[in-house]
Amino acid sequence: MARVFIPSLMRDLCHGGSQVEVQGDTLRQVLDNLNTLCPGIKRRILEDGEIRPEFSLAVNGVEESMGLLEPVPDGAEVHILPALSGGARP
Amino acid sequence: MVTADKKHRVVGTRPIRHDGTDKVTGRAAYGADLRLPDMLIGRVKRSPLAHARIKRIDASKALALPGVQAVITSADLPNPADRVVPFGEGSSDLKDLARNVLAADKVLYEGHAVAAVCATDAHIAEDALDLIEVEYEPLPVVLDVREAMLPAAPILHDGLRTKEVGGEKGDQPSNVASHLQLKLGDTEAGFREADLVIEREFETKMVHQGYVEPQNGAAFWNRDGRLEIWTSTQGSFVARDQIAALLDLPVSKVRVTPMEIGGGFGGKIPVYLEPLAALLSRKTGKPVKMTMTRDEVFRATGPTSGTYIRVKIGAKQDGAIVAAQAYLAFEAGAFPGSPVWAASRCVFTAYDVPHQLIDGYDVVVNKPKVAAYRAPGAPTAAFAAESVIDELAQRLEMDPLDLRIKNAAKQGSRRADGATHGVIGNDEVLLAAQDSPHYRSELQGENRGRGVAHGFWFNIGLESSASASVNADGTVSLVLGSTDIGGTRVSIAMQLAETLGIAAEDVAPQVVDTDSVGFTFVTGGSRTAFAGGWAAYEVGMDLRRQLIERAAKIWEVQPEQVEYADDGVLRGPPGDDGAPRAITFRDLAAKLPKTGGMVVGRADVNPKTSGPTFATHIVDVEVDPDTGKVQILRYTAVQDAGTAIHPAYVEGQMQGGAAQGVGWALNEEYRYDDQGRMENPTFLDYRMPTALDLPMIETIIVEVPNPGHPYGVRGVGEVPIVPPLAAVAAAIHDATGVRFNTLPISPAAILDKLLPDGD
Repeated sequence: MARVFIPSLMRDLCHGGSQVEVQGDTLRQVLDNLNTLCPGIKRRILEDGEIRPEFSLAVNGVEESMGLLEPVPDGAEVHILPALSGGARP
Repeated sequence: MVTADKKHRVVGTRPIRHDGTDKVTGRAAYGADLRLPDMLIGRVKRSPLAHARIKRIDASKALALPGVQAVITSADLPNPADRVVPFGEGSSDLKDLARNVLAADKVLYEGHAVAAVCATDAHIAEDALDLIEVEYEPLPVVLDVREAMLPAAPILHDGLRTKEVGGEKGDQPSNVASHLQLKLGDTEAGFREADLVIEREFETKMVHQGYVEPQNGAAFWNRDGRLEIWTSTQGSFVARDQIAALLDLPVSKVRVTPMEIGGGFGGKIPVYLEPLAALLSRKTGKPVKMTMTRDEVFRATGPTSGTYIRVKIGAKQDGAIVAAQAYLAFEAGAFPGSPVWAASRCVFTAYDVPHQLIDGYDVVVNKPKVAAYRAPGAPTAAFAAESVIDELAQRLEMDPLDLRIKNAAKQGSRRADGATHGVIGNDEVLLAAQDSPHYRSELQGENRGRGVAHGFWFNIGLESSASASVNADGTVSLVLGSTDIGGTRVSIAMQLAETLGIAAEDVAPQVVDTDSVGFTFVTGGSRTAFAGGWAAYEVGMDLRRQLIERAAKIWEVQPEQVEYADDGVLRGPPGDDGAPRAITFRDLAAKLPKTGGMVVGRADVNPKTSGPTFATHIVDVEVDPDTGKVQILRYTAVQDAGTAIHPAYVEGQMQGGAAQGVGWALNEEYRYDDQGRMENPTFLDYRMPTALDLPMIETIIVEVPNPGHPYGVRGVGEVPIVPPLAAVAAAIHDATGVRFNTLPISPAAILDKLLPDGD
């Protein structure tokens, strides 16, 4: 089970919750399962099946380098961070 | 303060840099030095208006001038796809990048490129610019970030809608490209708990990195379809990828050779001239070289954002900060992409604050598109946050460093973006500053004051490649993809030397083109000594494995029986005579040719970790009440380097960042008239600090090794520019009793507040 921290502007999709616990061994599985609890959230994070350039996903504070294939250990924190390169028009 | 376990032989020493002789004798080859057979010279026609529709471009008279070979406009650029291209510390929509390289239907800032010409010499090319006729329809100009956010502001991009990051897009045209919100805890509840709440507004102006070497680029588009580029860039691969995308070429058709670079600080990551030189070369069949003037560098490259920031912090009487809120609006220049997101993630990150709310806005204005500048976004964010913290300390009657130490983030502290800090040297830096001779000294004299400020930067990892071949004379040739800024050749070479147990001087590093080494990300983000060094370490480990196998072969034993010691000596089991076998790296290298050939090590690394770092600066100033001039009397920079590979270059980065920050605080600004024409595009009028303006900046290197790196390295180049703005402002407050919340704190700004009205 991973604990996903929901950015404030996505909490409307998660009934106002700031954290959601979901199953998943990879970021792809975590986001798939998150989408069932927070319908529509995957569309805000992904574009054409990849993480949108304005975001970086972090597992236990370490930003992924394998995209959605990044492993997610049991009990991990998953953060949806604004990309440091930020501000570009998507 | 050194907390690292000093067990290294090479790391931590100060060898002479490998490129030192070439640099000091003038033999090092920069872009402007390039001479190719039949080379043409290109120049750029730029807009005199800050906002206008292009009605017509007529180059016929220019083309008729003897010596002129070709003219290009945006019509010569392939139609760009609407996708985002990442490049180092920034990213850009490809369409925006193309429109910035050559304006299409509109010019969006004074100096915006509208056409380019090449000729047989620079004088003819210059004359031809005047013969290119451009008809404009002037449009209203918006220069200030807050005015640009107003609903009635002139709109730069009709198609731009505000993107709520993580949310939906707006439905009305706007200059606000994006809005980001970070939220931790409940700030309203937090502020209710506070005994003291301070809220202040801050403004800073657009400033430039001020690198000495102007942008340049040369291109030769061969008849076989391959494009060769020579340029001054912080990232040859990232330049290649931008050029290939802009020209709709496969990356395999483009080779970029990085020339020596005369400074970048983030500003030499985007491309400007290279695609123009390429198109001109394709038209003429000849190589084309282009070089900017200083005027062009100011008007048409990427400075960093002017900002409006509002910060509110609440603390308990004992100094515990319970809530913090920030509103950050950053000028992106003509196209979206300011560093406001990084600023938002940095603004309170040095502190453990349970309740935080941060809103960041990326706003387009009629100024040049900003580029990265050393810890992009963090210095102005820290100026605001640290100034409020300084005022909190004053009002709570606490020592300003005690207040920071009380609230310092630690391992496990949660940041506003939700993630937690790993192993960091935050406390260690603050304590080292408090214990420094400077801070413990007494400052005496009229009109003098002392200020301190603290700063944070993430640092980044990302991909680096390297290879190395062992020579029979015992030296190693190291091939790198990172262009050398601030001595990165030597700092990477030292990490290979450490791994092999040889001298730094026995490693010969060279920076090569994009066809000669694996993908390597930009020199920036404070990643090169970190990730490049990691690649060098892996190259060393690859060589060690191969050398162990070779020694085992020579001794006719199994590789598992051979040990490669850190002193560069390989030891095996006793021989037939019972004596222990041992061979040095140098002696083994001499045997390689006749025992199977030379060996080559390779590595490509993509570290997930990076090693965030902190800095505290202390500054003493004297303010002349008659002239408003601020003299820096003493300056000390304290910083966690993780492990200082080459302490002299770490100190150089700390001093350089402090010097740039002092300029930002006191003098530097883009000054515009009301039509968006820059009034100070020279180093005479855009006042950067010189050696005469600064004392020797004292440095204290703290070493809290980064557990995410083989040698404990943290990036060092960016964080030293984060604290100076607030530190200088605090010192001026201490000297004058007046708080300055707008930068620069120029003599005129000081006199405006110190003198009675009308004087």
